Amino acid sequence: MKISKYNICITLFILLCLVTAVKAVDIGLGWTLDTGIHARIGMFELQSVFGSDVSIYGLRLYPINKELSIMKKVFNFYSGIETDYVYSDVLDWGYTAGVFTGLDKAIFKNLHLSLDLGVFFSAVKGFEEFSDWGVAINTKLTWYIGGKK
Amino acid sequence: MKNKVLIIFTITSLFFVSHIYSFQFGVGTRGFVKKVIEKGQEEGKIGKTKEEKEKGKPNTINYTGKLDKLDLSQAKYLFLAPKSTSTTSHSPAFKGTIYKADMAQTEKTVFKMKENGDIEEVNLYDEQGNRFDVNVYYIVKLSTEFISVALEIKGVWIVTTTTQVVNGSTQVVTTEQYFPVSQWQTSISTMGWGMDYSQYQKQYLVRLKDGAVFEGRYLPNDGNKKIYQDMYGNYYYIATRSNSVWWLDYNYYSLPGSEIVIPEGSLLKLNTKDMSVQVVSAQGDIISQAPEYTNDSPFVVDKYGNIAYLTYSGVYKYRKTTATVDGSNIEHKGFYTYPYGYSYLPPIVDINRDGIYLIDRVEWSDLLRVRKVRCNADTLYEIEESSSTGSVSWEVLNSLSYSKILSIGDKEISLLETTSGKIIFPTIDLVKATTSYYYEVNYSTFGIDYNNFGSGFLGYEVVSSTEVYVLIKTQGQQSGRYRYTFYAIYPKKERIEKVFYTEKYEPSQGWPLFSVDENGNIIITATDLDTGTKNVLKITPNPADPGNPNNISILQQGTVQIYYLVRVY
Repeated sequence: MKISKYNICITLFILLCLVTAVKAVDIGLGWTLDTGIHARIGMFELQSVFGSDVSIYGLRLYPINKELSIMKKVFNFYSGIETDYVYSDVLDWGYTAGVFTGLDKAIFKNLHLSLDLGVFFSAVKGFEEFSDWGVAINTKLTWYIGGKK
Repeated sequence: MKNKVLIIFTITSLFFVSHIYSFQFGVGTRGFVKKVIEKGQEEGKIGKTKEEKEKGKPNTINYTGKLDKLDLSQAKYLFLAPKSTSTTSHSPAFKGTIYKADMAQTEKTVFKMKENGDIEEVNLYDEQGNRFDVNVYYIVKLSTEFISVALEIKGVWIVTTTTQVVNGSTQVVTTEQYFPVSQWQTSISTMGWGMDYSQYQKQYLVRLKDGAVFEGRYLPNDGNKKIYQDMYGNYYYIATRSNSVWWLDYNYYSLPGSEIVIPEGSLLKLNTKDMSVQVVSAQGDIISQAPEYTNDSPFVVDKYGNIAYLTYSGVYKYRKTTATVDGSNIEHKGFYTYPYGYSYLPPIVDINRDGIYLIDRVEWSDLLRVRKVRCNADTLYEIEESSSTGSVSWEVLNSLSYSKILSIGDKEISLLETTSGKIIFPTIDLVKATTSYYYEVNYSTFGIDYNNFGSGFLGYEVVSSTEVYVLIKTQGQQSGRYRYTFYAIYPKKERIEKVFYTEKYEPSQGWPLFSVDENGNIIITATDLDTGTKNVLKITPNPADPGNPNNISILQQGTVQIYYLVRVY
């Protein structure tokens, strides 16, 4: 990829934001099961889950986060919404959106494992438009590098 | 532990529940999206590869099912339309005028018309799931009862056609061998020199309305001549060369390696039991085509399979039949000739299709002759002939050869004849050979002034056996323009109505001059003299206000696109 002044400025700006925000909000990087990566900043999460056939690029929003004790163990209960752009060679375009809810637990120091269940809708355009809905389970490992966690 | 079991059970059950209820289940959002795409691919809405996507969805017909008989029972109504055209604007109402589309417009798509009126594209795959490359061709038709359509499917079956002489008649026998798509190695575009094109294609013809089945056979009928069926399920039609579907000619008339060529104009019998075709007209006979402006059939077949036709040599030819030994079919036997006089009608079969009538003028007399010929089990397959002559006006006799048959009953026929000064509507009594009813309309009734060049009677179209539209051209109010007026004539009521006139539009005087749809509206191609645009107009007859421009609606401006509603069996 060609590095331009424009790209450098954007990268520096993002880094600046991260540095200033690191003590105020949760920041984490992680691995999404199903071959993806994600970056968590506060209640936002950017994700990219890629494959040779289909890739998705999207944003998750976690507005609800509550501590929950189940069988004397403390979990973080969360709910949110997700929207993604779908890329595939066989598509002109595609998107998916949905709501999810799940549990998050620290398994080692700042390494968290989360599991959520969501209801999603997806619309894609090949020869013609096609859409369907369904259920998806998402599992993520996130290493929090700053913030409250 | 109990919780873990519960979670695993819940996740596992989602896999099964998603199969029972229609939703996609995915491990990860990407997994869910993949499932959605796969489902779209199954439904043919998304391509399976990048190449397929880039190529785009082909404009070929598709059908899900076996191909051995092209059993389109799931798609009884096929609607062919230009791909780019909205499928909701179709009209099967072009009863009278089906235009010949040029080759640039042959990309057609076949749709299934569902019971609720929705139209969907029909898909065609073989048993292994390979999609066929299918082109749709059609034989264009003019006028009345049916539309024939030919579908070509490349490389599905090898069709081997051989010609042999059986009982003095030329028979074409076709055998077929399944040729799986996986074995295709040659497409039409890559055909090499000397390869037999005919082995890579198969034609199907379908008909509208009257239920004939012609699948897997070549049935050139480009001239839109009538097809008859006998009580044994055989079909009869005239072999006609096709200008629009050249490969029909190639396969049918110019059989590779054979010196026997079926001449155009031969009368053919298609036996639907074994799909064999037999020439049933006499060797060397070319059946004369009825004049285009009458569009009456030059041959008839009664329900027993006896045939009669007009020849150029001044005789009617009749060929009788005899039942086969097991009684399940018929054999065509000897020919009988009946000379006709100086004016004549084509052979006519009565409404019950029990006997064939031969109607002509006796020499230069004022006598009309009606001969009835029967041959069936009741007559022990011997010819039974009855004849009567009666006195009829010379005007009726003179124009007999140019008559249009309006209706045929069991005892009489009604005709329309145009003479130099009038239109006459005689009804002929078939028993007495006399005129039982007569009505005439002079052209002067329409205001035609024969001293004025360009004024005149342009033509007519039969709406029903009791109603005829005529188009008249007279001097217009505006200098340099003519007035075109449609009249409705009701001969049995002896009534005439002016239903529409215009000076703004000038009809294109091709053939047919105009058409009438199923609701009695006039469909005509005409030029707007104010703008110079050529339009297809739908004119709603309005005797109360015939000059009202609101009687006109423009169906199409510029290039004519025609839609076909086809029933496939």
